Amino acid sequence: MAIPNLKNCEFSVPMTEQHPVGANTTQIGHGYTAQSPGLTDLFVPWGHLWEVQLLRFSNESESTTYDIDVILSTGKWRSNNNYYATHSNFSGNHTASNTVNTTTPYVNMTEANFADMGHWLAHEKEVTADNYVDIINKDTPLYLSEGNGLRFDTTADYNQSDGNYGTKTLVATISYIDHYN
Amino acid sequence: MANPNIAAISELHVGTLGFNLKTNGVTFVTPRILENTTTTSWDHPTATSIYGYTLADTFIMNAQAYDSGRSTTSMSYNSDAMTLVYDETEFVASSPSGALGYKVNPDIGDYDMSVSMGGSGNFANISSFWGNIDQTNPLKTFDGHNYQSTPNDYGFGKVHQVTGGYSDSLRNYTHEGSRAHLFNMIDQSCEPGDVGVLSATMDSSYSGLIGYGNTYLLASVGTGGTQNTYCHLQQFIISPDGGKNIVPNRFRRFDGGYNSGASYSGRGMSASLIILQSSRTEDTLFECPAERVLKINSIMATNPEAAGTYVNVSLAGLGAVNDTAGSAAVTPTGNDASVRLAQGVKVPMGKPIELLNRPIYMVEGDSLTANAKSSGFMPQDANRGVDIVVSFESMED
Repeated sequence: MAIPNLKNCEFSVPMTEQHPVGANTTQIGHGYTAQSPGLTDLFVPWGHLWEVQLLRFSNESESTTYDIDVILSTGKWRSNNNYYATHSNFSGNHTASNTVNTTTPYVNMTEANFADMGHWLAHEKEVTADNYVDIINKDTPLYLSEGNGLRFDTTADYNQSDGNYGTKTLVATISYIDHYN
Repeated sequence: MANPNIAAISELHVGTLGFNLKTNGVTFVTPRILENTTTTSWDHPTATSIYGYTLADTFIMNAQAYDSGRSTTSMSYNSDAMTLVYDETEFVASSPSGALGYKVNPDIGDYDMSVSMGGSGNFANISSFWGNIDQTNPLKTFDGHNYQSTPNDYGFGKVHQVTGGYSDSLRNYTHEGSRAHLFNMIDQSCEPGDVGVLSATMDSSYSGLIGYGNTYLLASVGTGGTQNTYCHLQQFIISPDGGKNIVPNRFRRFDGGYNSGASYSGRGMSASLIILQSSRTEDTLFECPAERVLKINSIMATNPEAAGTYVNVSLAGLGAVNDTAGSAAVTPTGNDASVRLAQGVKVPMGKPIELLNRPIYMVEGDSLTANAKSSGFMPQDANRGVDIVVSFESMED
């Protein structure tokens, strides 16, 4: 498959999705194994191109301000050990250590294992209680081509703490046009 | 057999024929669900009379979800054995497991779906009855299998458990967090009238899938109580974009992300995709009689009834092209007897469309065939009309 040429795209499908945002800091930039992709909340499938026209974070809490981190992953996953390869152990994994990611405002790519590239699109942007923040709007569209991913992160998981929708935090609304042939 | 010599035509006739085709895309009729049970037989009545017409090319399917304590020995409808698309042995990992089976042309009546199970523990079922499914090839074959899942060490085809954790060196974890990462399921092309069906087995207390554009919940099984862990089963119908392309990527889970809450991480999920193919049969509109040549000047299609309607028009019986003495005028090499003249052409409401840019000739034995499909899969989308108007000249020596 190939990135579609907008001139001859057969399909341009408008889509809107909503994603509750989790506290994922320890996993940013990681895949589970050497053979898995980096973890993402959104992933553009092969042959597709997304023209993101709205990326909005709504704070559903009535009392607490939450910060939003958005990480844009533009690298593919490890090409020298891709997931068709057999493997007998997890040597060569992305590190399981949290330290490289929890204390610095960037994803550490200095280790060879971090073949998956990601940088902040937004870092610790405050979303006040009962409010929303637009990271992307249609005047500044974001193009995501195949293999690109977005990762959302805040400080508390959405509604998971009691399994009963007790902790409302941030919800992402993504509106985009899915172009493909 | 001889074809006429156009230069020596003695008779020329003209005419127009009209045909009303009825759409017969895949039609979803009835579901039955059986949740968190050890019951191995349940009532799933079937009938072919629906909305004033008779449903043809029927099909019944059953999906199951359970954990490693169970296995599927067989499935049957009214004691007739069903074909298993996959069973628990196809799952790479043990926890979210299940099976999928089908039968074309099942007995019609107030009959039971039955399953024969090994092991112990509860399981969940979604059985569904369909119409207008191709009876020869009900499931599309891709990558050598009649279902697709995320790829893994075994390649395509194996239903792949996706979970969070490091416990099985043979698993590849391509799924995590709020997005159901079916992204490695490659888009699948299909013909108008076909649909995809996604089946997902998940943890019953912590999971659920939401589908976005062109995905429709067929049925969901899994409520609270004392369920077995992997008794959450959801099936979605995926309607193809533009009638042609099934995108299996538009799902996400309910949860908020990896390590969300107390129990989410490590909760697995397995997902599979099949494509149900609608009947490939086409109606014969007419055949060019012996000793005649037809010059087809126009094939128009008109949609008087419903949006989302497509037509296929084919030529069949192509082969010998003879001179007036019956000898070959052209000796074909490697030609095909049946080809599509118009493939999956959308017929809009409000104005007719022309399917021919230029006239074509049909010689004796050639026939024109067609069928019509709807992008909708509900019963009211079947049996919609499409008018085909063919204008032609007939010549003979």
